[in-house]
Parts: sequence; C-alpha cells; structure tokens
Amino acid sequence: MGFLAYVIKRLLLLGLVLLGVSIVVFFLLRGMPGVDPLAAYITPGLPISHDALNSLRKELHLEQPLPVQYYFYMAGLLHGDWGYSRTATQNVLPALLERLPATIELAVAAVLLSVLLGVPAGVIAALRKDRAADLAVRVVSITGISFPVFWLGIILQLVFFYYLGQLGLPHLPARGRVDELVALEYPLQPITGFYLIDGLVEGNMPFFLSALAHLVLPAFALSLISMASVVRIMRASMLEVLRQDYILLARSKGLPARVVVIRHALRNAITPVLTTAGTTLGILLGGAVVVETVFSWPGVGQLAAQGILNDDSVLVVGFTLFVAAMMVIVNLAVDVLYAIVDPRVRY
Amino acid sequence: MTWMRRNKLAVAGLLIFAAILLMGAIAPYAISAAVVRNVQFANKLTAPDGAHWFGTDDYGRDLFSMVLLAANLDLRAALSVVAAAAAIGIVMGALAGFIDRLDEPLMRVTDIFLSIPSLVLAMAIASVLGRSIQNLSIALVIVSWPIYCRLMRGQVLTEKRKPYVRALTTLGVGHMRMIFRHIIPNTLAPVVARAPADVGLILITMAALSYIGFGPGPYVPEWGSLVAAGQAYIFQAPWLVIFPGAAIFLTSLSLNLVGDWARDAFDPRLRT
Repeated sequence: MGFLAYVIKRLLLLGLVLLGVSIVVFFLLRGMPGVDPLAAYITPGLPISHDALNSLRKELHLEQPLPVQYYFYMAGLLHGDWGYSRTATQNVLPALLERLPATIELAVAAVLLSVLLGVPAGVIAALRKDRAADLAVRVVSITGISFPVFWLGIILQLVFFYYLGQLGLPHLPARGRVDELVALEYPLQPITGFYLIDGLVEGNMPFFLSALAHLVLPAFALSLISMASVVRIMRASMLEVLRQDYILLARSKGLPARVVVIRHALRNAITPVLTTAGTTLGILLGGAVVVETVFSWPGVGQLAAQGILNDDSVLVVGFTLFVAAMMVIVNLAVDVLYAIVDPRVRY
Repeated sequence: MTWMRRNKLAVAGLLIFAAILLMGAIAPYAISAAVVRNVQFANKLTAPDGAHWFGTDDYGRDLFSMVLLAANLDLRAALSVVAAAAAIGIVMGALAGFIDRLDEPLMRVTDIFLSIPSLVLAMAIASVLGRSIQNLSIALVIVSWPIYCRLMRGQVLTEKRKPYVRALTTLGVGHMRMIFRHIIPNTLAPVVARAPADVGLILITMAALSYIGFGPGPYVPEWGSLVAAGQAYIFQAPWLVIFPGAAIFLTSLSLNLVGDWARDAFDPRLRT
C-alpha cells in the first residue's frame, strides 16, 4: 500500500470517529431522556411567547423524527452552524475559533514545559532504575498527578503574585493574558492572535514581555497535568531501548555513555512521547477549562466554563465536539509525520 | 512484614487513605448537621486558632467541620462512580471478549468514548442533565466504564484460549455461566488493580468540575466548591482555599501511592 493510500485510509478512519462523536453529541442535545431539547436554547427566567417557542421548534426541526433531525444537525455542523450560544451571544464555532489562539498559546507552553522537564526526568529515572534518583522521580511525578490543578493554580497566585508582591519583590501576574495598561500604551495589531508571536513580529517588546510573564503561572499549572505521563512513558520507553542489542554494540565500541544515551537511545525512545501528542492535547484542553478559569485566561476553556454556569449546553456540547475534532486532526498529523520521518513504520 | 518494608510508599498511602476514609465515614455522626446552617457573619473569616482549627469561612462556619463533612460526600461519590464504572466495564468487556458477535460493535462504541477527553465529555453530559453532584456522578460513570471494558476484553481474549475453558465448554457449560463463574473471577485482578488510582483521578476530576460550576451550592459541603467559594477571599483568608484543597491533594496522593503499587504488582505488561 502506498503512502497516499495510507493517508486516505487514516482520513476515512478518523472521519468515522468524528461521525461517531457527532452522533454522541447530537444524542446529548436532542435525545436525552427527560431533557427537553428546547431548554438549551432558552434563557431561564425570561418570558417567551408560545409563537416564539413554536417557531424555534420549527427552526430546529424538533417536530421531525430523530434521524431527520440528525440530518439537519449534521448539515448545519458541516456548514459551520454549530448552534447559537447564549453565553457568547453568537454562533458556537466562531466564538470558539476567536478564542482558540489564547488556548493554543497556553497549551503549547504547557507541552513545552512538560517535555523539557519530563523527558530528562524520565531518562534519569531509567538510567538509575531502582536507585534513589528513580524513586525520587517517581515520588515527584505521583505527587504531581495528585495535585488538584485548580488548587495548585490558586496557591501559585498566592505565592508568586501576592506574597512576593507584599515583600516588594518582583512578582508574576496572576490574571489575564497581558497587562491592560501595557496593552493600552503599546497596542498590538492582531496578526495571528498569538500574543507572543505577534509581539515579536511587530517588535513590540513591552507587550511581548508582559504576555510572557502572564503565561508563566498558568502554563506551569497546566503542564503538571501532562508532565507525569511524559515522565512515565519516557522512563518505560527508555528502559526498553536500553535493552536493545544496538545499545550494547554502541557501548562495546567504547562510545562515551553520554553519546550512547543521547544520540543512540534517546532519539529512538522519544517517539512514544510524540505519538501520544493527540491524547495529551485532549487532556490539556480539558485541563484548560479549569486552568483558564483560575487565571481568567480568555481562551476556549474559560468560555466553556462560563457556558456551564449559564446552563448553555449548546456551547458546552459544541466545545466537546470541537475538542474531539482537534484531537482527531492532531492525531492524523502526528501519524502522517511519523510515517514520513520513521522509515520503519509500514503503512 | 517483608512486603511492608519493600513497599513503604504503598503502605503509607494505604494508612493515610484508611484514616481519611474513617474520618469521612464518622463525620456525619460526630459533627452536627446544624454546623452547615449555622451562619454567623460576625464570626466570618477568622484565622485558624484553638477553637476553629481551620478557621471559619465566609459564612462564619467552622471550616474544619465543613472539610470533614465534605470528605463524606466526595469519597462516597468517587468510590461509587469507580465501583459502577468498573462493574459495567468488566461485564461489557467480558461479553465483548467472549462473544465474537458483540466484539466489534462494543469496541467501536468504546473508541468513540475514548476519543473525547473524559473531563470534557463528562462536562457535556452533566451540563445537559443539569448541574448537580448526582448528575455529575452519572456523567463520570458514563465516561469511565470504557477503559475497564477495553482492559477486560484484552484479558478475556487470552483467557478464553486456555484449555480449561475448552474443557468446560465440552462439558456443556453455557456462555453466561462461563463468563460470570469462570472467566471473570480468573481475569479480574489486573483490571481491578486500576481502581485505586482511578478513585483518585475521579476525586480530582469531580472536585475540578465542581469548582468550575457543577458544585452543590453553599449549604452542601463539597471540597471543590469549598475551594471555589474561598477563592474570592484568597489574599484575605488563604486558609479557605488551602485546607479543602489540601484534603483533596492528600486523599488523591494516598490513592495514587496505592495505585502505583497495585499497577506494578498486578499488570504483567508493565513489569520491567
């Protein structure tokens, strides 16, 4: 089977997964026993006329049987009509896309942190298997996954913003993406929506530095969610690779341990970390709901959390579909890149 | 004794969890329910002292009592979610692994569930059902059973090729009896080994979702909502956030210590 056929096969398979997700999502909005699907579209407490209700019902095709409703729902999804969100006061998809750069910036920073800290920790644990360093890495990573991330976020704000500030020391900002005053004085023309990239491209250093400082605490809190799994995968994969014959050969040729570990072992051992990128991203997007709420970070997660408080299930369910779609796209990209980069992958 | 010496961390985890479980279990009997409704704004936000070990909250209530009462709710919810999810997953997984006709459809269903991060899907389900701890628990069961189903199916696929299964089939043992009396008891251990860490994970997830808005409101003590309520006073009265959060952390840490050991001890694939 050729490479193109492989890509097409993956696309079809992922398309099927998305189809399945869309059915689940449709069922949540329209088919839940004991839940009136109209409720999601009405603001509680506001009076609404019978005529308005009826026309809304007609507009959403609610009198039709479920399969027909699904057809119209799916047609809407494919045309970018994901339903009207009361919280965002606009359609779900544009509302999410508008806030996506903030979340991607945060998630990428979190991934970088967890890889930069997690990979060396996993390697050290594997090299010192069952010794003190291994145990230490293990205890630290178990402690890491045990932290409720919203609590950790608040404690970080308390220590690095409030207590440092009280002591008159330089402190980190606790809320938002950028300092309001800095943004007023040094306005940024949005190009990509990623503040760090836009700031650099436009040479707006005060804005860039403020955005960077605002990123530190939320990114660290979010990175904790994925760090433990990076450490664990890295350790297991490294142990596996270190047992291979070619490592023994490299060692017996008299290569220095550093070269064997970094050039020979690490390059092969790191692939499992990369192939789980899609799953990791999904977990981070879930974590983003919590972290963005703690740090008032104006991303998709914060919007979804606001949707929850407003009982806006059109938005919350739309967010679920959005996250699933992003995971599917990243998984596809990783698979394809992997097949290109690693000649051992047969497709 | 040797076992205990070699697994100090797991023993420590087990002891801490047992202590928290015990405190949570007796809390409703030891602490009068009136504490929750005993709103005294004159006493609000007092710092921890001899009378109020954890201080008082924004309603002037004793935070120590609130955290203990919350332990009861949170632990009960997390334990029953995992018990229900494991039970459903184990039965479904055994059916999928043993009966070929059911394998494909059940696996495709789990594929769909596993392709959405569990926190996000639980959020959507609970949001549609309506905000309450009960609906949140139902949502968490719905998103948690597929992983048990997958694990169990894998176990059963290897188990059913063993001679004793063929021998029993020859003797005329029916499908249901085979699955429930023979296969499940013989393949359960590695699947159940997942449970302790899972209780910790569900506990954190539930607290997180409760923190962002699924919480039961100010008159039902719950760890995540206590943290959310305290956040407004974080710089003024940090103990409101520190103590309930520390309770979540300590509980999930103890469960993860036990879970880490259980996974290594019972999952043959992870033995290195």
